[in-house]
Amino acid sequence: MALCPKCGVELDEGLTSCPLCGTPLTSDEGRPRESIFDPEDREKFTEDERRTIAWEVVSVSAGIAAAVVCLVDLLLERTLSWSLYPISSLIFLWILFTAVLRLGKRPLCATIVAAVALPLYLLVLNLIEGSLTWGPTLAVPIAIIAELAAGLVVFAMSKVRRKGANVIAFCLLGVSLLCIGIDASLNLYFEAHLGLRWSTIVATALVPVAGFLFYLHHRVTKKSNLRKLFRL
Amino acid sequence: MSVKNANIHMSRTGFYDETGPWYVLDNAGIIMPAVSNSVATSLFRISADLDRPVKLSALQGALDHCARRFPYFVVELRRGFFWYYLEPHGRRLRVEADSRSPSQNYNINKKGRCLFRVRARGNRIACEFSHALTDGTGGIRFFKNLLVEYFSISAASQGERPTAAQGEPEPCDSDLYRMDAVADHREYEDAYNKYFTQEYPKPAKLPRAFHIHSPQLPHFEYRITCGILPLDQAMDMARSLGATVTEFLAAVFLDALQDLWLALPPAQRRKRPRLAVEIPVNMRKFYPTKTNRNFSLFVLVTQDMRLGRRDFAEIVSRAHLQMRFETDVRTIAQQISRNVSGARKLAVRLVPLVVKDFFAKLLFSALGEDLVSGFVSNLGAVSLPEGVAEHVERLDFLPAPSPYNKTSASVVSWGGRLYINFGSLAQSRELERLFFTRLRALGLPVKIECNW
Repeated sequence: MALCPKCGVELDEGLTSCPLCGTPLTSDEGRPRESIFDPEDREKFTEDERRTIAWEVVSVSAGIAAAVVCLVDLLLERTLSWSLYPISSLIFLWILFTAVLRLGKRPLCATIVAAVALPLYLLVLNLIEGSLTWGPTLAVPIAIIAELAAGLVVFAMSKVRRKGANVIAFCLLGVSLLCIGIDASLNLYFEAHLGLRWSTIVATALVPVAGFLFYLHHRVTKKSNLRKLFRL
Repeated sequence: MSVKNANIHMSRTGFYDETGPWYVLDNAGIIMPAVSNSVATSLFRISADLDRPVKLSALQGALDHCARRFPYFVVELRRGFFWYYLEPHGRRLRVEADSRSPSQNYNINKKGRCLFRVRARGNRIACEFSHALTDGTGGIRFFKNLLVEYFSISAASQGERPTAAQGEPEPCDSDLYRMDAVADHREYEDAYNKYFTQEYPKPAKLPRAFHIHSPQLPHFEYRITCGILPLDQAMDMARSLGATVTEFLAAVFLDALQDLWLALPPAQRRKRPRLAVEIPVNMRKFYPTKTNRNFSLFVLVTQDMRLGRRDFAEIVSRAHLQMRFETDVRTIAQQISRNVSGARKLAVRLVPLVVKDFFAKLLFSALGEDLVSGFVSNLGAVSLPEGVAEHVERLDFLPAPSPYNKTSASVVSWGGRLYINFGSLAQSRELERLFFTRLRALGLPVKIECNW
């Protein structure tokens, strides 16, 4: 039996290093590396190819749908009127799909494109009505706050290793933020001042609950239950 | 609920639910997590030096078997809302490499840390147990089973005749368990709660004790000074002075403290004129429990230095009388009452753990470390079965490090020798020097070893 030169303990034959201190006993350099090749891999589409095909299908389908709607509107109304709503909605959805399918490998770019698309879509809807009224002062701020809240929740969740009660807690904090944003936007739009009313009550109720859920999540492991945690 | 029913309920430490087994800490262990860190680890240590290098695969096998037999030891600490609790260590326990400083750099509060570890280096096998888990008696029981299992596996792998300990344990040694048996729930009962009888008045408040004045060693350095002397000569000496070996050693410790105190400037002497040596007493001698959790209480051997210097014979005599005086059933019951009744009060139980932790540190200081100058813990004579004993050259029992009472001693007898191990976080070696010098002056031949 071999003796570890550092620990001095007896080791079993065949070991390449001491399990206690990691001191190498023999070298295993030069051993050929095994590789496995599956011939069926050649027959499969790559991830990129699948995404490209999906994007092409979505683009062609959206284009056909927009053309049909446009033609029907022109035939019936002799002008583009109601069809502007489904057409702008189709364009918005196409942008979202493009962000996911074409920019999926660059999540930051995809997120920025999707985030910019929503306020623009709302502004376009407002413009179709004739002039910009509720769009820039009400819809866009609420949309941006909703995106910000959702983004923060997703970012926070991506940073935690173990998901559980903390996901609900993040969502509650996101809802609190959204409510504050909606409350502020509504007040700004209807009463021209930035006062907070009902949203503070919502936040006061939700934030402690979120705090408690964070505590539960932090303390309760996958195998724990509340009996252990709250044993008196 | 009657006291008896409450005792049965409260002494239960093991539970089983849909998530598997889990345990609660015993009455002495509940305070340890709050006062433990990577230096004050609360880890005491038992080690054996064999007559040949440790066979790692056999030791790992023995650890695997013992981990199955002692599931209540293979646990990690978890924080509840009101109390700490223990959950099974999810992974296979691995033998770790031993280091120069034992019982260091191991914070039991960290997730994934088992409350004990097995280490090896050269000829030495060591087990380090947290006091949150067990005391010296529980630790030595586990260690003996580990050694027996190690030699069984080792002998089997070499095609030798199995040791006497393999298979049926020796009926004379109740510390050895069958490895294929399931752990009895009485092995991990909280005996403090079981043998709580009634609420007694609290013991009288004690004044603070003298502490060694010395800067602390750098982090993760723990100095062990071991004195080895013939057991029969030490016993003869103790007997001639009318004391037991423990009382005799406590008296030598007190004598060394007396010299240290007298060497202080007068202004410093006045601050803490009381010397106190703590002697853990194994409560299993008084109560019929099988528990391998903590079940020790402490007796203080004290000396008021305002009354002047005492000669050694007088110190031994007083140590003997104080030990006899304090190891009385009612006095012990009073200590158990103080420790148990506090933790049973609803007002205490409802306090969140964060707040409990804060007060636990204060309590540990005020009712524990502040009242003693050091401790002398004697594990006594260890017996091992035939086939194992002849391969064990020495045994060591090391105290858990404490930055407050920086220097303490643990004692074990093996193979006709007494191993006195001082564990110290103090830069000063004066206490150890005075202690062993006194033994030499009494005519006892002492061999000294040190890791730093």
